[in-house]
Amino acid sequence: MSRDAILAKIDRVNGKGDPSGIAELAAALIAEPDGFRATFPDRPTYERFVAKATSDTVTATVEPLSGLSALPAAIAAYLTENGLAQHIALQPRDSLTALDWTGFETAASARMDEPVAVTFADAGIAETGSLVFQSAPDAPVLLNFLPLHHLVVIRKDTILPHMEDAFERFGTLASDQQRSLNIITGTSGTADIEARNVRGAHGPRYMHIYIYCIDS
Amino acid sequence: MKQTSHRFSQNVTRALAEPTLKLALDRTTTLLRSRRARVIADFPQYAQARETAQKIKDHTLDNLGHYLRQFEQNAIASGAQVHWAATPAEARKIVTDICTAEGAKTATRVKSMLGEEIGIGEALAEAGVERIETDLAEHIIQLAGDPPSHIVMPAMHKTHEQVAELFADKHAQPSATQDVPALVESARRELRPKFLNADISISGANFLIADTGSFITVTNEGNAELTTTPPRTHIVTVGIEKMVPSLKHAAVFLRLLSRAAIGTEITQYTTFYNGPKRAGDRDGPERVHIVLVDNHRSDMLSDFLRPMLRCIRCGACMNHCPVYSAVGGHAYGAVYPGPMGSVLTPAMTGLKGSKDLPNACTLNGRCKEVCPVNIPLPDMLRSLRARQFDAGMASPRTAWSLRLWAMLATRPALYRLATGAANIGLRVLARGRGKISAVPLAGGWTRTRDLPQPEAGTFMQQYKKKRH
Amino acid sequence: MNTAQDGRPRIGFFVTCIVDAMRPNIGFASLKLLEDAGCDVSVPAAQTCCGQPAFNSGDDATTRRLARQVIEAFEPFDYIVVPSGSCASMIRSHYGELFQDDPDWQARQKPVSAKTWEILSFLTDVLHYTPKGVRYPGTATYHDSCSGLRDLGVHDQPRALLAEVDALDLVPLEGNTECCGFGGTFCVKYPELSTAIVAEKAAKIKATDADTLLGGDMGCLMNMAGKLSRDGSDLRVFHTVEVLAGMADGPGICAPRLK
Ligand code: SF4
Repeated sequence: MSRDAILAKIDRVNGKGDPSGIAELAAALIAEPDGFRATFPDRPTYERFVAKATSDTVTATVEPLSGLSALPAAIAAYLTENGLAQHIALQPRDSLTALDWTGFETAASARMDEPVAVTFADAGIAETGSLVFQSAPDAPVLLNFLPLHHLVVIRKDTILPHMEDAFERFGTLASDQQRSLNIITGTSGTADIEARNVRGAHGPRYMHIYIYCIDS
Repeated sequence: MKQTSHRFSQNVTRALAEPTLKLALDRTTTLLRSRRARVIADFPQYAQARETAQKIKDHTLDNLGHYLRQFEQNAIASGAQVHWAATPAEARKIVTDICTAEGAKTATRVKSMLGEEIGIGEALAEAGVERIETDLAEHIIQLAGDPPSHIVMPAMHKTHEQVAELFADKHAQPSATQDVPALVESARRELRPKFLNADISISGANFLIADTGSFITVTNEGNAELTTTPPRTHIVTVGIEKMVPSLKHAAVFLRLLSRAAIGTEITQYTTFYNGPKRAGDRDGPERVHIVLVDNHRSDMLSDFLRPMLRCIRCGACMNHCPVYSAVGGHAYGAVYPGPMGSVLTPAMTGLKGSKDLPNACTLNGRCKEVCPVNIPLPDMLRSLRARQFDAGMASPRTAWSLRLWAMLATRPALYRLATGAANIGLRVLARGRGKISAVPLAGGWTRTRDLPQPEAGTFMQQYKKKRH
Repeated sequence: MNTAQDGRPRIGFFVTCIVDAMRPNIGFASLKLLEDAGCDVSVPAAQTCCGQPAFNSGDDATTRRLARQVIEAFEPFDYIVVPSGSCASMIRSHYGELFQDDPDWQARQKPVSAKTWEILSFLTDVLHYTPKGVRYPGTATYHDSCSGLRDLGVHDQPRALLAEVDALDLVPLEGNTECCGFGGTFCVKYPELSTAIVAEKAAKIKATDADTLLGGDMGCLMNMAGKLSRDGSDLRVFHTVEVLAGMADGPGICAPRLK
């Protein structure tokens, strides 16, 4: 069987060795992550996130919200401003569906040419202005990819400094993993024709991020 | 694709004669180089990130057996099926067997160089499965019937004017104008319905994570997730060297890959996949097959080519290569072009059919300088030349002139006589004009360049006269 | 060690095969600079070539023979100085690869490699030399040859030295660190590729305001000068040491002889 032949060949070259101690060796290599990642000691995490997310490479727009309950009104305004119908594909997550969507047409899944979807990000990454989405029964993946306008809601205290912090948040063991973890940084873009940057290649062309603090 | 590396010189002649090729290459490489330089200058931790990345890959390669077993166990626990293929033929068979068992008619595909390496296109055609390339560049070359010419930007050889003509011809509703955004929109219109209706999706993986059993794709277009989410089955074909120990180790590479490849801090879409959809999930495939491919990687582990297994396929080496920039990727006549390809092609398909590749390099070292995992590409190309030389594969003319030259160069007194004679000969040819426009046996130089007229007497002759 | 009686560093000058055959002026300019800087310079007669053509052709056995010849001829000196980044790098950075399985020769090779220097970086980094009273009226641009740049870190040194030359303006060259397409044996094995690369280089040189092209490697200079000359350009091409030694008053590389 090819499996055994391949592994035997590798073991022959490397020596099979004792697997204990490998984990420690591996961990030592990344023991000081601030040496190999962009740091921002003088800037609060939130500020860094906003600066990166709205930079001309990530191209998102950001809007602070007083609380989650303010979301429907803010979205209504976004749709009007962009000349869009008051129809949204809404992630079927309790915290979102529980809001008052009077005046909207909502759907739990996206159509092929969905103009707008609203989804909840499970974390943000300030280093790069990225958003993290973990798949779940109430968090289908395609909602983040099909719409032209991707409207994302995130709780301010889930914005973390680095990618490593997001891994910690969701768990680093095999058993912690959901089917998929999407780290999304801005919108769908391509540079495949003469390296010229164009947005809205296959997925969203616009990303708007609502950031709120927990209602106290 | 059909390998034509053995006709490298003819390929070069043809490439240099193509009227728009250089224009297309320049338009892209100029932008990629300047974007990369800028983003690296903005990343003071780059040197250490690069060193860390190199160490992680070396550590992983040192313990590759351990990590492969660990990955397999965790991937199976996540619900994926793991297959092993020693050769491209085995990998193709695994893929076509799955397609047949699924009764698949259409497959959407996310660009992966390993897929090209094993010939996935041919495999699907044989199995009667319609292949739909979803990466924009792959879509372009699929329509054009071209092989990829770059590992990150497979359509680098096409100008936007050529893409516009192609789309006008092949798209159902082509754009009215030739500008790049309109072309992208045209492709979006064309491809959108195809994502949702395919039976099978096929992708590669940029990294495998041993301690979670995850695999990663990175794209800027978001086509990976659009491709792999709707169909009921997702097949991943991936080289065994893509392993890293853990999620946090992967983070080191994610920071480097996009910077090196296209000059951004991170790709727009980075996705970690763990098996098929979970109970209650509304989307995602029901079955996930991971095909781990060796294809000579375990051979490379045992010799001077081992560092090549650190490669993360960023393409920086080719973007900065003067030879690649002159002739583009097709001239190399193999799946992997540019400096990394000139190492990989002989390693994977044998030196005989790719004799020129290690030689067609000035050893200027820029590829190594820009490589995010510090692969000593020039040293390996030179070592491949030594392997060729030892195997008696040098051309008779090279071998003969080396022998004559070595005979003289190891005998300083005789060498003095010979250079003295050559000095006189060259000055005769120059006839006092300061330059020589034709020299017997050196036509390669003088067809396009003058040769300077040497001074009267070699340095050693003049020095002897002056000092004694 | 064989330091001269008067304490001056004893230099073994390795002229390189190309300078020996094509442009001795570079050799004499080097001698002048080294002597001005207070060195005791010798030119061992038992020198021919560093072995690079064989090395880059994969002929390691021949390379080893030549390397041994170089080591034998030059080990008595304090320093080995070479007017070429690529030949200096061959001795300094690559000889080590040849004697990995030969401890006796490795023991002799290591010190020789360690004391081998490319001339421009030797003048600045070791001798802290500044040229005085040298004049070159003109506008020059600079090409950084690959081995010197990447293996030996030669980049700022020639610019610092040239800044001391009166009446000389240095203007930037786009793509100054990109290969010129010479590549030693490459240029004769793959003339079409070499030509395509040097044509682009020549175009970039011509796009500057410079009337002079300078560099530190005769191979590359010959390649660029040969192309410029064939294109009908009258740019003057010199090795940097020729300008620094005040010996750039004759014809440039490939330029017509006046006599
Ligand atoms: S060899 Fe280095 S630069 Fe080239 S593709 Fe691989 S990782 Fe990138």
